[in-house]
Amino acid sequence: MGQIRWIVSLSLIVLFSYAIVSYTIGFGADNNAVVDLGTNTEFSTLKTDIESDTITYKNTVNYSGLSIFQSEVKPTAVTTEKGTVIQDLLTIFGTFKTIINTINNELLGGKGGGFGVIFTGFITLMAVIGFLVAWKTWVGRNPD
Amino acid sequence: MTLYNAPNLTTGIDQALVDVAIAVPSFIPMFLIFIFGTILIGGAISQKAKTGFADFSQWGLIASISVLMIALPLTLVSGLISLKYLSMVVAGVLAMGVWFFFDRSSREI
Repeated sequence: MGQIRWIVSLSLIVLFSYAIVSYTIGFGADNNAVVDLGTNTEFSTLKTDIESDTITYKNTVNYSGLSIFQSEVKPTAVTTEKGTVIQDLLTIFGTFKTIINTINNELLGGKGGGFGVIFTGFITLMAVIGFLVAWKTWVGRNPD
Repeated sequence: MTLYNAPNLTTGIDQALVDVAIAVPSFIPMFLIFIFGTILIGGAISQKAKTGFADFSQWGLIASISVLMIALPLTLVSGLISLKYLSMVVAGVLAMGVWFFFDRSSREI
């Protein structure tokens, strides 16, 4: 999985999840529904977390972008010596983990459920891909 | 001995549906699963017949969103759907979204 595809996938998953959860909570609030998703602490916490994480993601991306212009590259090097170009991957991946945990808790019985090991393996796989992408970018190789 | 009490329609057809849901607790969840399966399998088979390729992640996402759109009006009437099942429907939509966005090829989004 390439770097661009990996980051775009994570970003769109976060935005899509926020849209669905916000719409459902808003529907219950606007129509005074008998069953309101806003009363579910798991989803109301997820909505709040995504809102704050998105702001953090924006700030880290801006900071990383500025660091590119302030970075240093030695004459024979293929990548920067300073800079924080990889920080935005960790921010968006943390939000993705929050969404996966919510899915696991609501749909598959949480950590005590039998399917917990599947999601643990899936998140580990995504983390491995993210580390490989970050490493390839950092040493100047083609991350795709 | 009466095996089944006929639903009371004097207050409207909504109460008949609520009485059925109370008498058979799995009625609404099974109905939602039926909607999900019909759209998923029907759409994938139709796409396979027309284009030769079935995009299951796409149809899974469409089916789960359709189930959410049907489940939301059910939350307006007491007794049709519980918070537990609504949470499972929303979690299912998020899971299908994760699968869909990771399944895109490099030429797509």
